[in-house]
This record gives sequence, structure tokens and C-alpha cells, in this order.
Amino acid sequence: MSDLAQYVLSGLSAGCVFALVALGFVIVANVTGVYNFAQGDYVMVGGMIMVATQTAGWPLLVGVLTSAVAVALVALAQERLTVAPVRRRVGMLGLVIASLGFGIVLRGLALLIWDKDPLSLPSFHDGTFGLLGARLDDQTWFIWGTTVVVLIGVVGLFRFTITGKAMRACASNPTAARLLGIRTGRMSMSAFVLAGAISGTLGAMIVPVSGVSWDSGITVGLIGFIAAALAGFEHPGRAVLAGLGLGVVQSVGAGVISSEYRDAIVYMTLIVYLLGRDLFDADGMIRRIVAARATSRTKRPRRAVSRVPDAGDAVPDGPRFAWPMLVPVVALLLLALAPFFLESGSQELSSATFVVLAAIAATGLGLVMGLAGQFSLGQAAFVLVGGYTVAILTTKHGWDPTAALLAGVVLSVIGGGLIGAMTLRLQGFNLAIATLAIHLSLLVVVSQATSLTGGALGIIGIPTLTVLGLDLADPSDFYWAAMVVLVACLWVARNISGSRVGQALRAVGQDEDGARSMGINPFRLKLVVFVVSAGMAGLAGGLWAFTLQFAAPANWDFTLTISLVTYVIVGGIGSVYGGLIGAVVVGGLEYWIRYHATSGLEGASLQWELIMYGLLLVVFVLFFKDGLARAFKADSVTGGLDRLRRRRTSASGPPGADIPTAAGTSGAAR
Amino acid sequence: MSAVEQVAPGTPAPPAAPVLRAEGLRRTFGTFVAVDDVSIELRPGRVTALIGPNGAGKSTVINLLAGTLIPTAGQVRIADVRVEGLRAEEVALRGLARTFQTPKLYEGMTVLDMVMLARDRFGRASFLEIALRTPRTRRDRRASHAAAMAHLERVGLAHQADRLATSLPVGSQRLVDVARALASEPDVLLLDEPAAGLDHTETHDLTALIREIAAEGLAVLLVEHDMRMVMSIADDVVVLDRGRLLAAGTPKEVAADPAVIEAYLGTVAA
Repeated sequence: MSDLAQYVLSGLSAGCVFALVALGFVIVANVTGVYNFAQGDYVMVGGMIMVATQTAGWPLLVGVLTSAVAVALVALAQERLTVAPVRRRVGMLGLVIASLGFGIVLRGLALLIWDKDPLSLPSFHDGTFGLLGARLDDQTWFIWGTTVVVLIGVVGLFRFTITGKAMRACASNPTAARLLGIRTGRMSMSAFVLAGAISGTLGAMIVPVSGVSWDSGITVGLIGFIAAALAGFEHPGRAVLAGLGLGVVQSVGAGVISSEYRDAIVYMTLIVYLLGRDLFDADGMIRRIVAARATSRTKRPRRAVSRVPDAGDAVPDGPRFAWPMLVPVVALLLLALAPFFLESGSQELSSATFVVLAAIAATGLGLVMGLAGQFSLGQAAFVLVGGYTVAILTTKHGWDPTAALLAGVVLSVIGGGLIGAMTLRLQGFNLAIATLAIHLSLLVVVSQATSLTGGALGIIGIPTLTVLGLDLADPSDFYWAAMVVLVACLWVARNISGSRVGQALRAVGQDEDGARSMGINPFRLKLVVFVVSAGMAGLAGGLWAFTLQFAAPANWDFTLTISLVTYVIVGGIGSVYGGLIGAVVVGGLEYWIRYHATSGLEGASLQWELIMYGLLLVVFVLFFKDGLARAFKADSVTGGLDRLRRRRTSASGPPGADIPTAAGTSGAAR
Repeated sequence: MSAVEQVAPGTPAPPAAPVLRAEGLRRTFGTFVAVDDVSIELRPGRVTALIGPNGAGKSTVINLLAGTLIPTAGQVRIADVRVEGLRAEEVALRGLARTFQTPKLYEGMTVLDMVMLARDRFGRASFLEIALRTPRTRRDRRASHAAAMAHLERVGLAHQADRLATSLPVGSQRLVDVARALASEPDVLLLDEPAAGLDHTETHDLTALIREIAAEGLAVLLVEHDMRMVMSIADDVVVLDRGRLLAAGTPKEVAADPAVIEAYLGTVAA
């Protein structure tokens, strides 16, 4: 009994952090509509600054205040740089990715300044106290006290002050709020500053209990996001309760089941919640089954196209070569030339191989993000599934390499189908969170299930790939095989993108109601694209295992997901070749940084890579939305010429000389 | 184009079973009753006009019929199959097409692309075939292209097929929307204020087109403010007021109904 009290009460401390991070999510989402993926990193930065102030010998209170103010300034900077200037030009997906990029930059900077070892501090006050049979550190009082004070403050702000009410008005209708004289820009700043100050304070308070390291923001942010999602991103009170609950779940799970799996247990509550929503929602599975019962299930027979003659004449079939194709063609040529210039077995060729494999996974991710308009933060999870399937089946069960590779693809596809079925029906960023949660859970599992996966050290002794008797042991032979797979995946992606499925998804992305009215089922199309994407990632993972000849959690961790997302964004989210282009350009840059720009210890370059990724994400999402694929877009050139010409005619000719065009464009504007 | 003779308005059509039948539709939003006990029957070959002052619940009725909203009570049947619990895309696949008050136009898509979207359902190639671009996929595309062109031809927009839909004037945009709805080869067509923003000639052409569509055997529901248009093409008129059925009958009967004159026509005449 006292054990349980111990778990629950100590879980409340972690729960306070999750609760306040969730509160930060809800405040920012409520006022600005942005799901701020950097929220967890605020807590990390707060902790780091607290450690720095204590190392410098500052008083505790000054340290906490400094953390709060510093993180509030960081949040303010984020709002001014990545939200305020662009909120009308960039869609919600863009703002969210920009916040992710900002968080990654923070992680990279933390790694650069404070290095990778976790830091900690002694308790603010030495001693322990007993409560309900549990024994707790005195630090608990500080955490609980801060949480209560913050909660009272926030509730008071939103309920009783004009500013709080104005902030809420901004969320529900920014235009109306502006018409009423509310300065929405200032409210947006306030929301970020408030969320930053809260996270910074708690980040400082929690250091003596859980320590702080450059990547501790990922878990905190994810669990906070889950808590906010459980509250529907709307109710601050419910978000706080959910955060506290998740803290208790984590602590009890750690005590009763296993401390290694404690985070995975929390992530599973998200999966249970999503499953539940899929069952019981207004448009959920149960509702649909009931509706289907009332209706006969017979589908309307497809009517023969009798009223319309079938034209036998040639019809333009898909896009032809055009200048925009220049960029992907150059990228592919660069990859194809690599084996001629790079020595077989060299570091450079193996880097090039990784670029090809990443391009395969990124091509899949590009379909999900560009075509289905969904944000996945778990593409590396499917790579991991493919890689470990190959590793386990070839080394422990003696499977044929090709069969193991296919098994990895099949498992990824099944996994993608299950996750997609749970999340793609719902609006918002559930897919991103669910895939990230599953990836982090899988990483825990492969690190812990030592007998099956070899734990953190991984599985070694994976054989080289043989396909239909063709031995691909030589690195340059393997490289060619990977290139063939990449080209095949690009071809499939292009087919899908140019097909009626691609067109239908583009319609869904712009106006779901309109698409539905034409009989297009958005969920099914998104699911099928997500499954294809998972399959490509699984394929890449399997090949990865064969070329590395070992499988370890670090091969396919969250960093890989960040890389893949960056490739897609930099390459161009609207192009099927975005993943390819991004992989060649950013991947090339990454390996150059790793092996040339930063010499020294393995992993010493991680901070620079993170900062590069974060900055690229922010800059491209906000300012080069179309990515490199559209750098030579035909209509961007001719469009520019048109604009130039129009300016010249209106300057030389009489005003109104170009009325026909003006009328055409104003008609379109309506 | 059509083999069927054009039927003059007002001519009593041969009695046909209703293809869409809504009974006792009710929809509430919180405590607000938007639509209460509304029943509508749409018969093949007939144009039914749904009229009523602003806020009468016309759009809600369309959304209930099309599956965009789920009724709080009541039933909707298409060809004797209940559809009121189904989602919009499933209702659409059962033979209902609709246009929207503001035409749904997609950035970066040509007029032809938009109409081809409505042919999505006729594609026979499976997803696997699409991913591998088999000959059947290409046949699908050709068929879809040809059919879409034919429907554009019919609304008189074939020469604009390759223009971006968003670059057309409003009148043409509405016609694209109609072509899109027709291209799915529906049995029931719901037109939500198709003449809004059209000039006199355009309205005239649209009226002729709707007559022709109905003559081919489609059941048409027309929500419209332009009373002249309603009176000239409707076979039946249904009047809504504050969510309730006020009157129903032929245009003449409805125009003579004192309740209608008071609630709706009176204000127009004034």
C-alpha cells in the first residue's frame, strides 16, 4: 500500500511538469492556433540555465527567475521569428514544422554549450518528508507549490482579466478580435511568453529530481503533447489533469512493470485513447457500423459510361519533360555517378549509400506530407522495423536475405495500416504524435528486449544481400541495387501522384467537403498512401541492415526522422522528387559536416547537424515553401516575367491598358 | 446530345416513383432547431425548387440530404435505401451529386482536372495497378478524360478545358461546378443557388441547361433566390420558413398561397 502511495505521489511531481507543458501547449494553441513542438525543449532550456546559474553560485530564487525570464525570451524570439512574420502565408503544417525546427535548433545549441552528459543539481532544501506512508524529497514541495501557483495564476488570467479574455477571443476568431480592437499580434506574443515562462520555471524546479540533458525535451514535450491532446487542446484544466494522470501512470508503470518501459507505458495510453476515439467518436467505428446496419451494404453498381463515347484518340498522359525536371534529374545523375568516383568500400561510398537509402524512405514520407497532407514524425520507426526484421530473421532464423527483406516490408506495411487506421480519420496532428510515440516505444523495446534484439549493442553478423542468386556483397554492387530500388520507388510515387488518387488527394487537401461530395473517400486514400510510405521506409530499413551488417537502436533513432522530414521540406513538399533532392543536398551536407568539417571524435558533429537541420527546416518552411524542386519552376520564371511586363506596360502605356488581365485576375480573386 | 425529347415546363410528367425521399427531417444545433419535420420527394425528370427567406434552413436541408450533416430525426432514402447515417462520399456514390453556394474550385487544377475528379469513381484500376501504371490505368485515364470533355462540351466550356478553374469568371465557375456534378452521372442533383452572381444571359443559359438535365430523367432540387428562374423551371415548389415546411405544390399554387405571400413573396414584392 505504501508502495502504491510512493509511486502515485512521486508520479505527481513528473506529472506537474507534463501538466504545465500541456498547459503551455493549450495556451499557445488556444491563442495562436499553433501546435508548438518546441514546448518540451523550453523545459530543457530552463533546466540548463538553472544549472548554469547554480554553477555560477547565484541564489536559488535568482536562478529560477533567470530561467523563467530566459525561456520566456526564447519563446518570444520564436514567436517573432517563426510565427508572427509568416502566419498568413504559411499553412498550419508549415508553422508546426517551423516550431519543430526551432526546437531542434535549441537542442543543437544545448548540446553545443552544455555537452551531451546529463546534468543535475542537489535539492533546493535537503531532507525528506512523509505523506500517506510515502517518503518524498523536499524538492517535491517546490514543484507542487510552483504548479499550484502557476495554475491559480493562469486560471485567474483567463477567467477574470480583460487580457485573458482577449487572448481567448483571438483563438476563436482572430478577424473578429482584430475588428474589436484587440491587438492579435500582442496576444500571440503574450501566449508564447507565458508558455515559455511557465516551462522555464518548472524546468528549473525539476532538475534536482530528474536531471536535464540536451534531449530531455523530446520526452517531456511528447508526453505534454499527449496530455494536451487528451484535453482536445481546448481545456486548460483538463490538460493539467491529464498531465498529472500521465505522470502517475508513468510512475506506477515504472514501479509495477519496469522502469525501462515507463515512457513506453505512457505512450501506450495515447494509442488506447486514439483507438477509443476511433471507436466512439461522432464519425467513429461504432457509429459507422450502426449506420451500415440501417442501410443495405450493397454498393451502387458502377454504371457503364454509356452516355459518353469513348474517345480512342491520344490524350496527354501525365506530365512531359519540362525545365522543373532539371533538379531531380541532376540529383539522380549525381547519385548515379557516385560509384565511378568513389572507391568501393570507402567511407564516401557508404555515405552515398546511406543517402540513397534515406532518399527511399524520404520519398515515402514526401507522399504522406505532400500528397496526403499529413505530418508523420515516425518514418524512422518503419525503417527500424524493416532493419530489425532483416537482422532477426537472417541471424536468428537463418532466413534467405531476400525473404527477410520482404518480410520487413510486409511488417512495416501492416504497422502503417494499423497506425493509419487509428489516426488518419481524425483532424490535427494525431498521426505525428502517434507515430512519434510508437517510434520512441519501439526504441525502448529494442533496447530492452535483449534476448531478441541484442539490446543497445544490437545485432551483429547480418549477412550481405543476395537477390535471386545475385551476390551483392561488394559495396558498389549493393549501391547499384539500392539505386534500382530508389528509381522504382520514385516511379511508383510519380505514378500515384499523377493518378486519379493523387488528384483526389490534392482536392481533399484543399477542400474536404467538396471532395467528399464527389464520392472521394479521404480516409481511404490517405491510408493507402501512408501504407505505401511505410512500405518504402521498411524497404529502406531492410537494405540499411544489409549494408551496415548490424542493427542497433542508434541507427534508426529520432534523429533519422528529423533528417527525413528535413529532406522532404528542403527538397520540396509538393514534388514527388522532394525526398530525393533533399537527401542528396542535405544528406551530402550532413556527411560533409560529419567527416570533413568537424574532425575528431565520433558524434562530435551532432550538435552542428542538429543546428543545420533545425535552421533548414525553419528557413525552408517559412521562406522557400516549394523547396529546391521548384527552384526552376517554369511558371515562377514566366510569372516573374509577366509581372515585369505588366509593370512596364502600366508604366509606359496609359493606365488601364491592361484591363483585360486585371479583370481576369480580379474574377479569380473573387 | 440527349435522345430524350425536351419537355416544356409545367407539362405534367409521367408519374415516376421518387428517387429521393426525405421524411420528417429534423436537425438541431444545441437548442436551436434549424430544420423541423421537413419532408421532400424528388422524382426523376422533375425540378423541385426549395425556397424560403434567409435562415429558413434551405442549406441545412441540402446538407442533410447530401450526408454532410446527420439528421437529429427523420429518414432519407435514395432508391429505397436509407442513407441518412452515411457520410457524404457514400451518399454521393449512391447517385447524389450537389453543387455548393460558393463553387468548390481547387488551386492549380484546370477546368478539365476538376471535372475528371468527379469521374474518380468510374476508375476500374485498383490501387496496385495505379501504383504500377498498368495499361488499364491508362485506359481509365483516357475514358475519364473523354467523359469529362463531353460534360464540359455540354455546359459550353470545352474551349476553356485547359484553363485554371480559379482564373475563370464567376459565371463560368458555376458552370464548371454543374459539369462536375453531372460528370458523376447522378440520379439526384442538388443545386445550391446556382444563379447567384450570374448576369441575365448566364442565368438564361443555366435555366435552359437545368431543364435539359431534368428532361434526361434526373431529379433536380434547386435552391434559388431568383424567383423568376424558380417560377419558370420548377415543376414543384417547396417553401421553408424558420425550419418548417410552409407550403408545397406547383409554382402557381404556391404563388397563390397567402401564407407564402406573407412570409416570403410579400417581402420580395415590397
